[in-house]
Amino acid sequence: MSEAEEESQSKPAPFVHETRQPFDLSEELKARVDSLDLKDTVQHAKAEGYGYIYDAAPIEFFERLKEAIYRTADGTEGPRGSSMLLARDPVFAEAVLNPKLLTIVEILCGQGALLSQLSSTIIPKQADEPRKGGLHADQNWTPAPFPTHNQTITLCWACTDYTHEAGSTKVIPNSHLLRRHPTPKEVAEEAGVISTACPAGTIVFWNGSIWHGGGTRTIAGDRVVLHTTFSRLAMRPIENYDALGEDWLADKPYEMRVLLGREDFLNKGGASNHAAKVADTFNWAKT
Amino acid sequence: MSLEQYKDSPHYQKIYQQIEALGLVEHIKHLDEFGYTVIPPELVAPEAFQDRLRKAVLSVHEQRTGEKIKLEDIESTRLAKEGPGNGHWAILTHDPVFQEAIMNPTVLAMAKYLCGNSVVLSDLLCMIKQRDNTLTHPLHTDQHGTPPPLPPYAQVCNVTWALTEYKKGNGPVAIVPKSHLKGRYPTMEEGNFLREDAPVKAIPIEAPAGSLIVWHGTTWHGAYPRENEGLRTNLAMAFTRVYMKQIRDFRSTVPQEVLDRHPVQFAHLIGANSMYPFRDGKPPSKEDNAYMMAAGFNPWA
Repeated sequence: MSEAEEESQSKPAPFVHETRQPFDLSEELKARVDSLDLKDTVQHAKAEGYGYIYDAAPIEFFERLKEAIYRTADGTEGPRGSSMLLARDPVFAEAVLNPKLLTIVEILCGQGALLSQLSSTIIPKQADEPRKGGLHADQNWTPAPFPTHNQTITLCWACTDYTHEAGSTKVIPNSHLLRRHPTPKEVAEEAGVISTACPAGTIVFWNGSIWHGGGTRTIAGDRVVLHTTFSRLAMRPIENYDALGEDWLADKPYEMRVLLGREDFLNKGGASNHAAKVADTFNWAKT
Repeated sequence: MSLEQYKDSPHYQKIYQQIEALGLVEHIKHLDEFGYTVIPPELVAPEAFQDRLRKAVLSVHEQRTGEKIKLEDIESTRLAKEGPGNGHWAILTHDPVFQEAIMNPTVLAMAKYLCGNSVVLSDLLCMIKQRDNTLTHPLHTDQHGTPPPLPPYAQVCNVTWALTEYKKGNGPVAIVPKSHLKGRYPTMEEGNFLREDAPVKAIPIEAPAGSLIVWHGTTWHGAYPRENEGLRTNLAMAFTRVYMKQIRDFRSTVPQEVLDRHPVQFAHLIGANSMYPFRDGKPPSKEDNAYMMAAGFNPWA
């Protein structure tokens, strides 16, 4: 933790009373979007509910990621993958701390957002023809009407090309505006569905309300993806990393502590009300 | 999108039947219209149970501060420490009566009406308040996870067990009726409801000792300073939807022997056996996860 961060921890922040509406970015966040060349990405996410982060990391990073995904997968053949990956290879922690990724997470899930799940999939050829089905919204546990503010975001690190034939994720652009889960009929029909498309080395993401599902791989080879899911700070995460102690966190930046929920006052033990964390928690929850 | 469409569902019917059986129908109507309701002691628990709760609160206070307060002195005494009073958190395992309180059928029926059958306890605490003119609680809402505009269903609810009489002068809760319909938090200017020129007026909630005061997570509320001698005591229970993080980490801190004393519903209620977040690298099966998935499809599931 830097001196500035230590100081910020010792002095509770003043309470913020105003709430920012979706995509109403602070000046600081706007500047970060510009400096990271994310303007078009943010516009696409705002307009259609999903988007792409190009050049998030050098292609060599994606190669490291791919190697780690194969090495940590459960099994060696067929559709496979793994979950609870954060501490299983340093490359996974680097991925969740990627500046472009964290900027998009903050825009879609606010400050103080949590790492909810870190999992991988390796999908070999599945069929000769694409199959329908599987559409859903990632805000699985939130009833309709979904809150105006997005609750979760999933960002997929495409370690191999994303195309229709390669089994890329299919989405229905703008389906997030319906603010509900799809009906069984809508899942079966897939009206308006498109296949996401981007070269290996891209992060493709969607908000928690977008109707989407896995595509069907109809070509040889594997589709290799790292799935990184984040949620607003008050949402129950999918995975629990409480077992990672201070020793593991020692060489990680403050952002990792926030992502693991160590800096908000929720889900804490002891007989305290954790007052020092209250202002940050409430302020973050308004973004 | 109206929530009315869900009222034919078995999830809603299960809760409504319990509400009917407990004589609470008028209370959920009042809650829906005004954002709060006061349930009289006779619909909550026998007097003997209320006394056990009061004694347990005083016992927590004694254990944590070293100050012994006799139950018979509660209407007349002061705390040794100056100021508005004391709040004690993380009290669930201090005395079994707190565990019984969160499982009280009336408490649970109201919590489920607001946060669904899969509701979880977020935290419970007790507060002891004395004469002091500090405005400790300006107007606020208890629901903070989602920024406004807020969804029409509660993501959080507050069930406060008044263990001493709530009336003007006794430092009662202040409520802004119908404020849950605003779908937003009060601004800083709206917070101080005690100012003569306050832009938002609150009302003091009057309730006999032993009542439950229940409000929606988005209802604007605060607390009046206590003007009278004696102490105001309560047990405040915050409940939340199953997909929200709890304030208190009961899962890691409640001993197995406590879980063993109760039916499995108790473990569900405190999130001790929640399917998520998982920590062993193996996601729950679809069957085990069904209750959480159901919560996403019906606000009363």
